[in-house]
Amino acid sequence: MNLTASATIAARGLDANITVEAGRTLALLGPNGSGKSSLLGVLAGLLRPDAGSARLGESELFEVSLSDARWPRPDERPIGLLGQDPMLFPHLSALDNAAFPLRAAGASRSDAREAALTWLRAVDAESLAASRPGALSGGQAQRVAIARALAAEPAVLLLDEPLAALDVDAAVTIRALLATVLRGRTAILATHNVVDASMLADDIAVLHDGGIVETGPTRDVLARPQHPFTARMAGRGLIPGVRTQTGIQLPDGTALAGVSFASNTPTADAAFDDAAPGTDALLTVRPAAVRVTLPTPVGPPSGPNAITATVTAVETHAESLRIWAGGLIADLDHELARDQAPTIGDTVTLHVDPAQAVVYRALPPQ
Amino acid sequence: MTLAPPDSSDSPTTRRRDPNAASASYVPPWLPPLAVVGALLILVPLVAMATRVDWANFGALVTSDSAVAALALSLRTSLAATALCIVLGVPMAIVLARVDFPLKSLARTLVLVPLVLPPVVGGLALLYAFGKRGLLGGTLDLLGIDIAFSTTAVVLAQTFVALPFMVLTLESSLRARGARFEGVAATLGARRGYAFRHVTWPLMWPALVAGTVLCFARALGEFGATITFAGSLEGVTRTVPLEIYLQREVDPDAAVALSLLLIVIALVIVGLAYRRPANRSAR
Repeated sequence: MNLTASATIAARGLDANITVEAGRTLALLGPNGSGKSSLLGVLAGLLRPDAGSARLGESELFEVSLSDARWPRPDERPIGLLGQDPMLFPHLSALDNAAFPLRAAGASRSDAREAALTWLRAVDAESLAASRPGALSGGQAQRVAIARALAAEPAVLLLDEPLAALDVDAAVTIRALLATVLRGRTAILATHNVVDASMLADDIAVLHDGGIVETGPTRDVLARPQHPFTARMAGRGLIPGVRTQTGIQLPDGTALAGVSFASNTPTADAAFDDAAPGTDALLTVRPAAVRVTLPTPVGPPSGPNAITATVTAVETHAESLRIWAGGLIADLDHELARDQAPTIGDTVTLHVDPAQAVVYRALPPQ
Repeated sequence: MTLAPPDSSDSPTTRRRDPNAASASYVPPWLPPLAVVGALLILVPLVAMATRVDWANFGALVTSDSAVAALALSLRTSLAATALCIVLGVPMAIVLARVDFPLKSLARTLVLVPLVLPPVVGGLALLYAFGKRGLLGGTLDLLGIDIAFSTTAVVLAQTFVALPFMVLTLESSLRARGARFEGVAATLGARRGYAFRHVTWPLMWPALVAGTVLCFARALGEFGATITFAGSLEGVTRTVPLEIYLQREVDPDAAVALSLLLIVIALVIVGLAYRRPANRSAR
């Protein structure tokens, strides 16, 4: 069953529409405070929006408008919610935690425990059955919380930053577990982490300033972002321009030739190869395909595919210095950069390798 | 004054204390002596009273007819008042902690009134409400109910003064914990009643125990409201504190013996209440 939802919460600046196709996982990608949790809370019934509605297949989930207000309680919705914090009931064993939704639905104690054990087995937590939540590690507790959420057999599973509270090792194993759990399940994953989104989600909706700025299959959205925010999250450079016969012309007049053209999604726009010059286009390029040189005293930069820009951010990585300038991201080798490392405000020249740059159609804002 | 039970924070991680943390080193040096003075203020009178006990006749003094009658009445009425505090205090605490309604801060202040009111004034107020010529007295009279100067009046007076202890203890625990577990229960499909029985109730259990003990102790020690609203009839309304007050004039030895008994009961109750957290964290 497809899930479609819209919600407005004025106090949190949220105004978003999302669609999740049956059996697919949608990542709601956005920074902390962008309204991801609020949107999940609205779907779960924990947070009432100022206005909004949602449908699950043929049936209505809720409807809140000026004229209508149908707002079922959380327990009346076929929606499960797994949070960042496992929130296991501290007075119940792991087994009884997993049995909780079954008992609440009216199953006998023995039936509920038997089914709960199956769910614990499914998340590889059978050995923890007798443990109290206080005795579990963060990763173990999240395993049990996943079993408990699944035991309720929700039609849609919401996951609110399920890996954010875990240490690195636990996050790796729980991410792998979620990848199996989410296969074929209708789910929404709220995350600020592009790794989680790309590993766990079929589709992605990017939330920025309280609204969805773009949506589509995860791989396509991250490889060919439309919005600068998405590009930043994906770690790719993104510059708007216009299509030329052989490439793209950037706003500063630089023309790049010899780039590869790509089609957009979700529209199978295979025809961008043949798009007319002058069409709005976007250039994206990975940091590895951008070379940085420091300004020479000899006037303006020369050579093809060179862009002059001001450094807006600098970040130290293990073996390189990552700089942001003019919409592009570039990695400088530490050894080379040591003497004359650019700092914020410096002017640098960025040389884009056209063979690795991708140009595609700029879609009108959603 | 804070009435939060020592274990009102429910997170198991916050309750554990790191044995290597030098918490004592954060305490200003002038503070412990003041704490000792405070402890002495409580301890010295108790010791002084113990020195005046007529140990030879102690058994006879606390088993006299009037003493036994007072003890039995005190236990009965205090237990009944404690039960009433649970039945009425739990809903009050939950409503105050979880439900938003108009004039809520006024309602919370009102709950505190019996705590700050001199008990005698509370007794007078009860008399004007439930007494024969009181606000509800006429109605109750028609129904054939006469409350003032009866054992029921004792229970009412004790409930009146003890109820705030239950409400404050439970409410602070409920607010400290928040409603997140109830939210989780709801998203797992638990109806409100089921979530109350299987989540709210077990999680508020430690606070309920603490509140119950405080209520029982307060009810057992009740004097002012009782003597004003219920009078001092042997076996009917004369509880142990009233008996002590009466015997003080006639037979000081009996008064001291009963007082000691009351102190011992109080110590046992307080000990029971504050030993719980240690047991819990050791599980």
